Amino acid sequence: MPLLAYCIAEAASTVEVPPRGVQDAPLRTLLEGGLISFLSQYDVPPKGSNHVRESALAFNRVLQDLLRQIAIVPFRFPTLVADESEIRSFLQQHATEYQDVLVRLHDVVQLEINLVVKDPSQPQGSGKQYLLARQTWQQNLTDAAEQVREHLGERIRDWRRHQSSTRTRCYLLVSRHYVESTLERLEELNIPAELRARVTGPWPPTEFIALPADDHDKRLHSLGAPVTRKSYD
Amino acid sequence: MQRALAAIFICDAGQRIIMAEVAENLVIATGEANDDLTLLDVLDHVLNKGVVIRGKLIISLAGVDLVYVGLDVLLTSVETAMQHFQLNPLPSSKTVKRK
Repeated sequence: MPLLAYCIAEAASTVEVPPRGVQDAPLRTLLEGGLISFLSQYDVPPKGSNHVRESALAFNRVLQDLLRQIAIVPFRFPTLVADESEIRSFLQQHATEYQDVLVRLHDVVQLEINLVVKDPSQPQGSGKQYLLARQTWQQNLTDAAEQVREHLGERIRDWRRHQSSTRTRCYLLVSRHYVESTLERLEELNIPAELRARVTGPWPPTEFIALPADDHDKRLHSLGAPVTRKSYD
Repeated sequence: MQRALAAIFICDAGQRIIMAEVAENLVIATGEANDDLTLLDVLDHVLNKGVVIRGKLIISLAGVDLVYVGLDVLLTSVETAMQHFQLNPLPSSKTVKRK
């Protein structure tokens, strides 16, 4: 039976392992190269079964439980491996990078603010009017994001922003000790009437991690690498 | 300062506040997500963020490819993969190397 991988943490971390994970399977740990990885057995569900919601929520519950205690680097769901040796060799290969990341981000978490244009309907009229409307949306989003950044000031360790035509996602790197006070401060925000804001978190600080395997993944895609096949017959 | 117009407090078993609408256009949703309102946030994170061990893996279970078996699980990941392809198109077989 394949194993579902949840996340990586420093092996030295003192952690209370959540007893159960996805599909109510017992969680197990694997130590390698100064890192600890969390895994559980995964029974492949029949095609078409409605399991996505439950599995994703259970996976997230495990991550949130661990994140409350320690710094983690999550695996993307569903990361399935044939056996422990696969995870072991991955950790051996990337031990130094992940140890560096976990040390650098050991006391921080990520908060997110999603700013969206309330009414992004296209104006009736000329193309020029449409372009002007888009320009206004963009400016409003940029101004609101900057307002958030100024409002939080030194509470933010680092900051990333991804903007599209009708939305801006702001990623805030915050000390885990200041999450509550940062959220309280965010409650005081005066969001412009033409926008809506949604604050979520804390999440693992994935936007601030240059994941070595992600680059590897992109390279493989760009090279059109052949797929790996494992059989459990 | 903008005052709260309405407040919704949803608590889990640990009595932790997980969502509060602090103003008409500001929602703060934190903590363990266990309702539909935050399901999209959770899916966005668990399916799109995190370590990917390899480019693509097809696990065959009893002669059936897992990617096919778990297609509905992987839909969003496939979408993400398509974005990767758009950013890094596969080399075309028709590409002619000019001298």
